[in-house]
Amino acid sequence: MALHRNQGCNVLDHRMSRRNFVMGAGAAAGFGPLLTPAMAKQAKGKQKQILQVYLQGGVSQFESWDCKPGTKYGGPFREIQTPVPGMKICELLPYTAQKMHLLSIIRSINLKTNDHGVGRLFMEKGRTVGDYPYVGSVASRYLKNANDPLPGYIHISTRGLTDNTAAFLEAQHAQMKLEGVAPPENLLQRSGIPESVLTKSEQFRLQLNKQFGTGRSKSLIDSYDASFDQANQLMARKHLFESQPEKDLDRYGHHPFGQNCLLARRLLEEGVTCVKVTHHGYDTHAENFNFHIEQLDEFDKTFATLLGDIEERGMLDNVLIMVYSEFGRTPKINNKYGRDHWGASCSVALGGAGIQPGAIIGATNEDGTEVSDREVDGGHLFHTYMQAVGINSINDHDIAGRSVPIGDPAASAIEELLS
Amino acid sequence: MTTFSAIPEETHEIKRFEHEEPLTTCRFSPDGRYVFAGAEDLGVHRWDVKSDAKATLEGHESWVRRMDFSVDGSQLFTAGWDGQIGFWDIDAENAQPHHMLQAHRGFARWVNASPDGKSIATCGNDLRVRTWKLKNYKMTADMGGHDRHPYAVMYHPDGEHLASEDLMGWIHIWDTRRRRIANKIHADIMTGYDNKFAADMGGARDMEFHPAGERLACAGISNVVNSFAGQQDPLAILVDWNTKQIECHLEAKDKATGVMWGVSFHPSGFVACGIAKQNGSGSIEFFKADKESIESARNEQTPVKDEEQPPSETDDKTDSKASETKPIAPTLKSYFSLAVDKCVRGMDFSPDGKQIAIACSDGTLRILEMDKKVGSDSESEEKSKG
Repeated sequence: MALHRNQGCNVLDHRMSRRNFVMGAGAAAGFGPLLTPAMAKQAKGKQKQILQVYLQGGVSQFESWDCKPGTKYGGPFREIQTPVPGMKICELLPYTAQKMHLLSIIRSINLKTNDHGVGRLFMEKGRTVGDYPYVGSVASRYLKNANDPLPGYIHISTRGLTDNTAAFLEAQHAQMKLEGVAPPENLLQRSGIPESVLTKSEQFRLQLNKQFGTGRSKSLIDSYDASFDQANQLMARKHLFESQPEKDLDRYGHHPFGQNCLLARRLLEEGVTCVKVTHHGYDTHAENFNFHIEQLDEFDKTFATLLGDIEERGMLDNVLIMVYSEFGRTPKINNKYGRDHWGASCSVALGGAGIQPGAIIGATNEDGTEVSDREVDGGHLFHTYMQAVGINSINDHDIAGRSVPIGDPAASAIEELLS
Repeated sequence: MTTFSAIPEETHEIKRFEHEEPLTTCRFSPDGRYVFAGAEDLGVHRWDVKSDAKATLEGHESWVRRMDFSVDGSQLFTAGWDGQIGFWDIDAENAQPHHMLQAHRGFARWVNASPDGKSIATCGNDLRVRTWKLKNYKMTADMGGHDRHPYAVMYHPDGEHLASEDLMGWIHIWDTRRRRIANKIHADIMTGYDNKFAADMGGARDMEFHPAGERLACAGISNVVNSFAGQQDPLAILVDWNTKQIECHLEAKDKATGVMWGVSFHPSGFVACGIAKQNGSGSIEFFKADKESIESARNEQTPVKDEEQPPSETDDKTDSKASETKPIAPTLKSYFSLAVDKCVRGMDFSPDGKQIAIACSDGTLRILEMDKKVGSDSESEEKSKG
C-alpha cells in the first residue's frame, strides 16, 4: 500500500481536540487490552520510554551520520571527530558530535524504496505493507503503565502527516498529535459553567456510555473510557502548555523545534511512554547544502541539549533515543545543488535504553552509493527498537484470539547493538 | 583605448573546456589568459584560453564558489566552504597556494579585493564581514550585524564602503573606516519563507558594483513557492547607490523558474545575468538597464500600495508611512535571451568585453563570443556592403 505524501497540510488533520480524541477511541472496536504474561513480565520494573526525533523529508546521510568528504559525491562539508575513537560525523553537527558517546550509528540501512510514504511506514512499522501499528503505538500498548492516565504516544509537530498509527491496537494507543506547544483544542473547560452543570454533564455522559455499552464488548467501552481519562488527565496538566521556562528556552532555542523539544522532555518527565518530535525541512531536492546548514544548525544544538538533559536526569538508561528519517538522499548531486530521495544506503542514530552506545553498525562503500557491510532494513530496526525497550518483538500481538507477529518474522534485531 | 564592443544577439560558443565534476563558478584572469573555475570537488581549475592547458590548484578542503584577483592581476583569491581564503600566483606552475587564511568559522562565502589593492573583504557563515590586509594577512575589521548568513560582500569602487547581502535579503552598506553599518536596504523581494518546509530561502548568489560605483547589482531568487524543489523565480535587482533605493528588478525575457547565479555590468552599458533553471537548462539574459529604459518601465507600471515598509536605521517612524502609496521598483525584462542547454552557475566577461565565460552544471566551462561568427552570412553580408 503506497501512501501519498500530504501535499497540503490541513490544519484540521492534525489538530488534536478533546472531542476527536475521545471519539477516536471507538475505532478500535473489539480489541481488548491483552497483554501476554511474557510481556507483562517485560513491562515490570522501571518504565521504558522512547524519544523519536523524526527529520521529515529525508535527512542526507552525507551531511549527517555518514560523511564522505573529498569523494565524488561527498559534497562540500567536512567530518569532525566525536569523543568515540574512529567515529566521525558531519561538521554541521558540532554539538551532537560531543554527545556521540551516548549514541550509536547504523550506516547500512537499505530500505529499497525512495517513496516518502513507504519509507516512513517501513521506519515506523518495520513493514512496508499491511496494517500494523507504529513504534509509538506498540510502546504505548506494552510499556505504558496501566495506572498512568496520560496518553502513551504523543507526537509534536508544527505540521504533519495524518497516519493511523494504532492500526489494530486500541485507539488509546494512537498518536495524540500536538501542533507545536499549543495546547490541544478544548483543553480547558469553558469558564462560567457552574459546577452543578458540569456534574450533570458528567452524569449524562456516563448514562450515554452505559446505554452505548449495552450489547457491546466491554473492551470497546474500556477503550472509550481510557481515552476520555487521558484527555481529562491532560487537561489537569495544562501547566505543560501554558509557559515554558525561559532559562530552558535559552538553551533549547526559542524557535519552534526548540520549544517542541523542551515540551518533549517535560512530557517524558511526566511519564509519557513515547514522545515523537518532528523537525521538518529535509526534502532538499534543491539547495541541499544551504538547507542542511540551516536545518541542522537548528537541530544540532537543540537535540544535543535535549540529549544532555535526558542523560543528566538519569533517564537515558530507560529512554530509547531515535533520530531517523524515511530515507536518505542520493549520492549524486543534481543540477540544482540538490540531493533526491535515496533509500538504498542511509543512516540513523540510536541511543539510550538497551542500545549499546558508541557503536557504528555497518558501512557503505567509498562513494556512499550502496551498503557494503551488514545490510539491514526497517524490519531489523523495528525489532531493535522494540528489544531495546524490553519488548520481545518475536512475540505476537494477541488480538481477540488472533496472533499477529509484533515484528516482521522475516527480520531480526541487530543483536550486536543491544547491550 | 578598448571600445568593448559586443553584440549580445550574435553570442555563440567558441571554446569548451571539460571537467569531470559540475562547476560552481568561473572568472577570467585580468589579463584574459586564463579562466579559473570552482567545482564540486576540492580543486580550483585553471585553463589557458589559448593553449587549452589545464591545471588544478589544490589546497582547499571544500568547494570553492567565489574567486577574485589582486588589482595587479598577479594573484588569485579563492573563498572555500572550509572557511579558508586561498592565495595563489595565477600562473605558477606549482599548483599550491602561497598562503591559506582561516578567515571564518564555518564557510567562507565570498572574497573581493579592494580597489586600492591592499585588502580583501570576506564574509562567512559565522555571520561576520571581515577585511584583511594583503601585506600580512592580518584582520583589519571584524564586523557583525547580519542575523542570517551573509552570502556576498563587495567593495564599492570608492574603497570606503562595502556592500553585503544575507539570506534574508538585507543589504548592509558598511563604512570601512568606522567599521560599522552606514545603511541598510531590505531587498525583501529576494527572499521568501517556504511554508511547506518551514525554512527561509534567498540572498545574493552574485553581486557586482558598476565600475563607476553608481549602482549595485545583486542576483538571486524571488517568489519562493517550493524552494526545496527549486520552485522560485530567478531575479536580480539594481540598487541606486546615491539614493540607496532599489532602482529596478531584472527578470528573464520568458517566464523562468530557477536561480540567477550571475550578474555583471558590461563596459558598454548592458547588464547580463546567468540563470540555472529548474528543468536543468539555463540561459544568459541581456538587459538594457539604462536610466531611460528604467524610467520607461516605471511609467508603464501602476503604483501599488506598499504595505510593508522596510525598517530603516535612520528613520524609526516608518509605521506612520505604512499606508503611503508609492511606486515599487519597475521590472525590466531582458531584451535578448540566449538559451544554454545546461544550468549556468557562474559567468564573467573577458577583460576586453568581447567574451563571456560560463560555468555549467555538466562540468563544462564555455567561452562565448558576443560577436558575429567569422564567415557567417551576416558578417559576409556586412563585409560585402562595406
